[in-house]
Amino acid sequence: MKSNSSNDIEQELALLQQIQPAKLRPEVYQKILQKTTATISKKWLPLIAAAMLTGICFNIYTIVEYQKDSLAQNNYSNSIEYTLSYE
Amino acid sequence: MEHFHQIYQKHSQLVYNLALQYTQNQQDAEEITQDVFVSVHQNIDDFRAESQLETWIYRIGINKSLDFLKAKRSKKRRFFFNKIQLDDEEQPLQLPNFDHPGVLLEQKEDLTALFRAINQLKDQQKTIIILLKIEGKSQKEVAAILDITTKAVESLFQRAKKNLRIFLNKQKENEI
Repeated sequence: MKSNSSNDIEQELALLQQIQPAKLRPEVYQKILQKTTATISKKWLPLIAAAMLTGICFNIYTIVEYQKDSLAQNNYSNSIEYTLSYE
Repeated sequence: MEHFHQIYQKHSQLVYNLALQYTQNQQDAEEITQDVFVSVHQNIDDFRAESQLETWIYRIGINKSLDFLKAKRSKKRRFFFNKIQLDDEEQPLQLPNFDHPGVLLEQKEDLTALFRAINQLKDQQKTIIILLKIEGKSQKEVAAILDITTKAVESLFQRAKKNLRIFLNKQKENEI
């Protein structure tokens, strides 16, 4: 390195102007596209989760209702009213 | 998406080279470039033509580069803290891997020393040196990018030069 008198720093800084522009690898664009796609997917994640939760709740509700119906049907089949209706 | 591709085509080299001046490392600069364009993609709808697109991208590039270095520094500090606790002795501060593809081999030694001093500057002073001396921007352009007055740019530049001189002298003393 050169000696550092008052004007020397400008000389040192002049070295920076000799830095050549570097070329970016084309693969980087593909990585950016992957990241942006992942970000878009993340945006829809709460909506997808909400839809799935609604679906699960609806399924549980349907099963419970079906079980209730079949239990009621079963109870009726075993009841005296049902037996009497055949007699 | 086509619009984004055009923006990328036009500004990716600018962002990559800017990140290189901050990190002096190809891999880190590529990572920053990715972060910058993901951010551009997310916020392009919010961009208002009050400033030029290039100025806006420069701002994102500077912020992402500084954030990246801050994260790297704190990671390193945590690592050393753990090491000190384990070994109970002081570890020497390691320099980042100098891997700047724009630096010619014959200038590598001088520029490594210069960048070592630049890296010791405060964020704003470092940015001023990079924009004025490497990117070749005028004081007016730098003022627009950093959203400060040209007077403030000049003042920061003078302070940066003063501090650089101190850091370079210190380096020289240590070499002797």
